[in-house]
Amino acid sequence: MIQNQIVQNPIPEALRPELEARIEVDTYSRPVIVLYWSTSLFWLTFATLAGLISSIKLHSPGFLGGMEWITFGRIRPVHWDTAIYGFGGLAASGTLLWLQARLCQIRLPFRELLLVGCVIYNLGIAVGVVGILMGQSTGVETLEFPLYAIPFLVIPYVFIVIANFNMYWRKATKHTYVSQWYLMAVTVWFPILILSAEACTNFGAVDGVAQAIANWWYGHNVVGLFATPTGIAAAYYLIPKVIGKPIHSYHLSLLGFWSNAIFYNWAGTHHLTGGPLPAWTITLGVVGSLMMFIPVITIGINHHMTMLGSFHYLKTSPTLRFAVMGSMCYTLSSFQGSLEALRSHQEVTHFTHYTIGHVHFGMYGFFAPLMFAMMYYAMPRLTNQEWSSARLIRIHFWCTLVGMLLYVLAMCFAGIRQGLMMNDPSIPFLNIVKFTVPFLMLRTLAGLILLTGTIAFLINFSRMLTRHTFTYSTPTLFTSNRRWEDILEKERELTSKQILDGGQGA
Amino acid sequence: MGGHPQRVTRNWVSSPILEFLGRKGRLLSVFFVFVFIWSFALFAGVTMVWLLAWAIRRGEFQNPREAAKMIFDEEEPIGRITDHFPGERS
Repeated sequence: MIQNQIVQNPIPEALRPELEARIEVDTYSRPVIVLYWSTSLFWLTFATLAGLISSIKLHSPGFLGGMEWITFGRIRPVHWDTAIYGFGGLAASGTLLWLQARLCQIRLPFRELLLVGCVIYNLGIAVGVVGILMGQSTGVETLEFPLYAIPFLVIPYVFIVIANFNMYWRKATKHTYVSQWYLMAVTVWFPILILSAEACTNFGAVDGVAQAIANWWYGHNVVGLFATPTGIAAAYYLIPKVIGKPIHSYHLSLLGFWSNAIFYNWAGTHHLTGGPLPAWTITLGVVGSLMMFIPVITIGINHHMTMLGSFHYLKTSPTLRFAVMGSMCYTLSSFQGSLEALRSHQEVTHFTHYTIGHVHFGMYGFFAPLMFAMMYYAMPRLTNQEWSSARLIRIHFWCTLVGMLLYVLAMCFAGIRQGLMMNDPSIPFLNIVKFTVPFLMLRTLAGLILLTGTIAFLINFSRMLTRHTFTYSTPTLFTSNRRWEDILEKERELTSKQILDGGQGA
Repeated sequence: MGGHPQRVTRNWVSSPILEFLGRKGRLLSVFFVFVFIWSFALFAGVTMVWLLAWAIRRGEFQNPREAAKMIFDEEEPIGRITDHFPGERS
């Protein structure tokens, strides 16, 4: 561990205006971004623990069986809702605000309002969690929070939307970077999604099958039109920025954005294959899912071609490790998701653990690593400090990768076998349940590994907040510090030469 | 066999809203969906189209290669690696 010490890190005069502008953007947004990200990590740990409890309950039903407030029907929605709204919502909002401020090269507006918004939002998550644990879940998948928690979540999001549009409107740059397309789109898509879905389900504006369609339209799109664009925006910024290489094709990135915007919205009904819906609505969902190959391939090609020749930096850059892991998992999990929508595929995998494996592939393979990458990159620049331990970063990375792979492989393999067995009427259902038990235990093991990684990250993160690490007099910019040292050294050499030449130097 | 039909209950906060919507009937629901949501969607859509037009007028799409390079500057130029494990800078 690096002990607490302040390292003087002077900025050479020649670089002052440009650097100072960027430092001001980062410094001003520091309290907001740090609050959003630190609370997101709290909810990630909470969600992982809740997931772990529900996972154990699946193979050991008596576990904590005497407490009605953490029965499977309550703790499982708590796990998912805190993961998607607690961790996902706060991490994505912090990413959105920091990235937009940086790309617009202006100070974060409405800082105090955003801080208050973060507190309200966290309160809303806490109220929602208590509500579900008390048995007041709405029972609607992904919208389980009781209705009294919703205003706490919606109002802060309005602040974020206003801040985002304000930054874009006042931006100091001439161009719009591709990440900004995604960030702007998220702030438009998500309010429409959640308001429409809440109206059609919990407010009862429609009934029956239409409610189920609205539910799964939302359940699918909250991942695809909220988490995914934020993750892709992070990848489009981090990968080129870390390796110092512009994105392979800016045209491809725009094609990826617009095809994602057009096709993703239609895919949700594939979750209801086999349900009492008109066949065309399912077909629409399947077609929408298959059309998603277009954005996924374009984004995949773009990221891969940008990285080509730079894969060796994965050894030395923690940000790049997580960003590349997230990008690769985006491509793979999206391919899996598109194929999973096919009716022939669903005949086997629908209502099995395969779907759970796919969801975790997307959330913990793609979205979460990209949020971690963003934090690894931005936090040193926001707090003027290095991460305290390279070992803890490595533990975090390998636990995330191994835990996620173990989880996804165990669930997908078990799901396929489970589906094939369920399609065979000669196999008693109890035998199928018994078959899945070892895989459910593997899932718990994977959850423990993921929790270990999260704790390693929490330790590193909290050491940074409590300043148990190198503290620089200016924001740490990694190699840039070295560059400043080189420039300062050259300046000193030049001055010495001038003195030796009798003050007649350049 | 007689007996009372089982009453379907929702949580204590959503119930009054549902009952209110139920009393006012389909008209209110349709009003909510079509007026509130669609007007919001229309507002968001118009805003995006307006933003797109504004961006085109500003010449944002005239030179995409420059847009791809806008994340680099003199301090962190193309070709410079900007992230390392702590204490392992080469």
